[in-house]
Amino acid sequence: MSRRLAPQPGEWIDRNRPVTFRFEGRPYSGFAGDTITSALWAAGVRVLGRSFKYHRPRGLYGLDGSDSNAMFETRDVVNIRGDRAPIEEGMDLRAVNTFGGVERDRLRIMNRFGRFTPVGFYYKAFHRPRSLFPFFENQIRRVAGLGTVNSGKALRHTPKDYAFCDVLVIGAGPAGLAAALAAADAGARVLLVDESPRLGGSLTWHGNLDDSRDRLADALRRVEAHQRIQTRTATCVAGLYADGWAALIDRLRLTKLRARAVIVATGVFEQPAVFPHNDLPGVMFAGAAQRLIHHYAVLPAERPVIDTRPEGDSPAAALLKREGINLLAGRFIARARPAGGLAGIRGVELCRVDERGLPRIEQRAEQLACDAVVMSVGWTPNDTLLRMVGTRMEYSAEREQFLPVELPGGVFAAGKVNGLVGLEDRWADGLHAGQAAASALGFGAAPGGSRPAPAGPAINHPYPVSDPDEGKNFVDLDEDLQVKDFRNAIQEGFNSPELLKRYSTVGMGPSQGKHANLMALRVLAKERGEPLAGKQITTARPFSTPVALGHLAGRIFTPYRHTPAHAFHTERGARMMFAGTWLRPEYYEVVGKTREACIQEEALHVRGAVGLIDVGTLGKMELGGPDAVRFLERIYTGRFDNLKVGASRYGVACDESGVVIDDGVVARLGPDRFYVSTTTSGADAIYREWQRWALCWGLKVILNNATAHWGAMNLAGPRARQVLQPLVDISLAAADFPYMGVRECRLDGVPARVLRVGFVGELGYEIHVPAGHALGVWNRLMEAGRAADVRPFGVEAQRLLRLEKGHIIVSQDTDGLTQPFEAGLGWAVKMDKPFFIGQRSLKIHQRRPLKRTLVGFQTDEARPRTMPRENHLIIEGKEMIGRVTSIAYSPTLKRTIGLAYLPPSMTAPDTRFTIRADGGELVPAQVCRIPFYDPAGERQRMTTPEEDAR
Amino acid sequence: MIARTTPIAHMLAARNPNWTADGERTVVRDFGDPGRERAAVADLALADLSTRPRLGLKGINLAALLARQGLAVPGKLFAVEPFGQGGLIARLGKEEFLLEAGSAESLLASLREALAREADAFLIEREDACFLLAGERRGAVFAQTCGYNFAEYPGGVVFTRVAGVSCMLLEWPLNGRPAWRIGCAPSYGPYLWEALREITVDCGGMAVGQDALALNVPPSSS
Repeated sequence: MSRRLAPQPGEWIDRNRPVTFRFEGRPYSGFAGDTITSALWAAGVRVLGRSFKYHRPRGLYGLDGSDSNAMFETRDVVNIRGDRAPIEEGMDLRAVNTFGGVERDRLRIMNRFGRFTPVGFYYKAFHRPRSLFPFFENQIRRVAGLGTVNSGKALRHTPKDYAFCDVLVIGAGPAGLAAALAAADAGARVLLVDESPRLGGSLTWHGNLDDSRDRLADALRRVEAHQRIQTRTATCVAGLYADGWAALIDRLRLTKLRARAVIVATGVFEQPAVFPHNDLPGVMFAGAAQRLIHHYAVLPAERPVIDTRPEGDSPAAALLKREGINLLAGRFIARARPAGGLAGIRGVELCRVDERGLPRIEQRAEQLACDAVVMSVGWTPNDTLLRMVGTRMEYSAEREQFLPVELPGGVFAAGKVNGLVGLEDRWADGLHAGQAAASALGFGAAPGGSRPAPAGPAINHPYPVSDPDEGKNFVDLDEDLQVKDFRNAIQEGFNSPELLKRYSTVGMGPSQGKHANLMALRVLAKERGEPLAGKQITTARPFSTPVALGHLAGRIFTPYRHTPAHAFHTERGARMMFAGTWLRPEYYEVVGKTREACIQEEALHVRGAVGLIDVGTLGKMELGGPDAVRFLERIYTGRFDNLKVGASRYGVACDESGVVIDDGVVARLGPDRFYVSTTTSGADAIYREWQRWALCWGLKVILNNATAHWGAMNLAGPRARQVLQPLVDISLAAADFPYMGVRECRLDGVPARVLRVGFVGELGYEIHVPAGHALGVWNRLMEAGRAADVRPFGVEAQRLLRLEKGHIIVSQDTDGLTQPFEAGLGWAVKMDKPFFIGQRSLKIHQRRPLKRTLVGFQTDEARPRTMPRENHLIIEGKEMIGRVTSIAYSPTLKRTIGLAYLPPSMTAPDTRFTIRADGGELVPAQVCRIPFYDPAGERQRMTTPEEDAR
Repeated sequence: MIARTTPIAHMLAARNPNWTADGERTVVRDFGDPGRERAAVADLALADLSTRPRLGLKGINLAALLARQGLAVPGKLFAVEPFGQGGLIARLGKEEFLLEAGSAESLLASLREALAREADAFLIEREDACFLLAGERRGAVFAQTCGYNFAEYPGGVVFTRVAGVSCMLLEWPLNGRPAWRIGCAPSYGPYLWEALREITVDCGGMAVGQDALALNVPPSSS
């Protein structure tokens, strides 16, 4: 049966645009502009959902964006709020939190077991016997929660964005509209935000709209025409933070808004009357009934009664009386009488009230037949955002509500949230707030006169509770909490607002306690026999309303970095890996071969012929200026004042505590020009540190982080010279370009810096060229090296090759406590220098015996059945005495080798120890001298004429 | 001579553009729909300007040094002055400048040669990835990627983060139309290009070639 009314003035629906959708398998129709709830209510559907705990039928309640029991899901979207979400053509909706559908929910039986499931029962039950806990846990997990996430749905990124304004006005009711206009007139750029799909707030639904229609129309016209006002409707400000940051949530996105001033004109939330069966379909707030009529032209019920305070003078009462609705006077609802299956109500039993309006349930009065109860017993300020930013709220016994008494700087409140009721007062308060906010930012003059103050009789019922022993009377419909639940919690000692919230979970549901928090506080005060004044609602934290995780994630920006030769790697079938944010070739896949085989073949090829590896990720620093040498002397542990132009030297950097933080090669390009490599992951941090030190020391040094602007590749292997020589305009002969030399030259016309280094233990040239030319140079080398059979090799092969040479990798073979003497880097530390970072600490370390030493080792078996891995422990008896830092099978040496930390007493060659591998297997190994490969370093130096000729 | 390429060459190539040579550089002429691309520049378009020759400069008394070379040197920090036709010189620090060639690449080359002889000048290779975000609706892309308040833009260069990457922004009207240059380290270029392109397309814009920018690009070579 349709409950749609004749067209209402200003209704939000478009009757020319019908929309069809399905709910619980049945077809329905509504109009564009309808919410899911209004369309279903118009179609006569009363049961919209089931409650969280007892699975009781629930209908519409507030129609204000906080109806936690009218939530729906489609195949892909979960927990859609029916009282806010518009219907869409073809929607296929189900109620959340049901087992077998909203009408035949199998868990409705939970309502009969209420006495066994009091508040906090899950804290006390299911712990014994312990063996059964997993069973109960599994069952609770199945029935708890709301909605079912479809993890198989297509990933859809939401467009999270940023916005800015001078003044953010939250709430577009009369106070918000007036504030926006006042601030904008003063010259501020204003953003006016409202959760509803249209501006106007309570002027669109509350009371007699004929009185305010002209004012609303005029205000809307002015707002729309104002150059400095932007509006966003259907947008919720879910979080407010310090410094004017606000989180705006709409259907599609999260907007991070930065406002210089904020005006909170969020109005009020209605408070429930509490009586048995106050949760069933048909029991609703007066605001819900009015919105149904004015926004959606839907009749709330056939025969409703309205329970109102103060009696008779509520605008809601006036409206509903006009619609022929019964108005209770001098009475309170003692209990509602449920219809069959709890699908609604069929009447109410009334009781008398005392002189304060408090119900006297022992004085039962008449019974009324009805199909709905419209509650209008008071409001509480929608102050969540105010409290989020530290506004001090105090309870006014005179007004029976909280009021803001101290606002943080840059935050203003206006309208009903300030306890104002009359339209003129709210409008004036909005103007005042708008002018005050604007003038605080330097726009216009400060407002003259004082703000309106709350006046007239209190509009809030002090304790609208009927609490007989029969029937369930709900305070919090989100969590199915009754008055007796609070009473029980208080009796158990959870007798402060904070404890009560945590034990009972009041206010933790989807509506975040908008209708329940104040009532819970009233119950607490009454049970403790204390006044409400002085008590506080629990801390408000973002978000004030549930926000989809997808909104928070947004597009998920995860920056990555490519080296210039990236295209080559991917075309050549490289398996890429992350090294920090860089993508590097781990190895180049060969069809039919395992990862290990590919890596070993790459390594063998470097040893036997020539390979090319992309080392563009290395940190690359340029230094210049008259104090460049002095700077390097202070940064690195080694000596660089005697480094000749055209030569390079290994450098180790420590922090002030003497811990190794980085290493690299320092190359001297000129008397005052240096080119320095750092570790891949350390480059940015090292550069920042260097800038800081340069300032601290007051040195005349020019620093430049050239990491990304230069590409780099290492051509390594006995045929490296043969490949490179034809391409460069310098002689690569050993006599002209010795080991650890550096040269600036042209490589096929491209300016290049070439370093003769030996990280992998072969004749090697590290070639650095401007990044824009690096791919071309790489390809040129591959082409020129075809006859020499040059092949690319990846990071894993390089790791293996350097391990064979015993070269460490900082942060793999060192950790956050490693000092150079432990890592075998004492040779690179020149303690006789006047100063370097970490020197004082290292002097202390020098006086103390070492606690551990990095040594080389090999396993007894060439290929242990269970291969130890990095960070596996070295065990002696039951003691952990060390750990493996690097380990690999060397195809060149045909044995498994590694580096490990051991106590200094165990570092002599051939000392035996055991490594605990995966599964607890103990793998025997023994200490070896390093380097494992080419200990004399002849292959990387290639200084003899015979080798030079090869 | 090995040609200089943009750091996003492989991303561009994946979209099968029409390439053209511009001096020593290879640039995208168009992505196959020059008409739409030209129209998009007024609305919302993203283009790659990475291959333009650049030079970084650090040193001592650089302002005077550059002035002696006959350049209009930006006096204030982060200010920008024109350099040749369509080029720019930006002051990134008290003693740090970035020069970019417009159509007259030789001007930058000769300047580089001259400065290389100066003891107080420290020449720096600048291989920045540089993109142009053009059109009336460019703000929609920035809104999703950048927390900078453009209403407070003081002019000149701004350092901020775009899509999580440290970037250098500069308002740079294109033939009288609103446009912004977005520069970053070349290694982040592929990521940033793809992030911006995806959002630009989502917002109804498109990636465009140099032809759409009307930068006097020579005829297509493919």
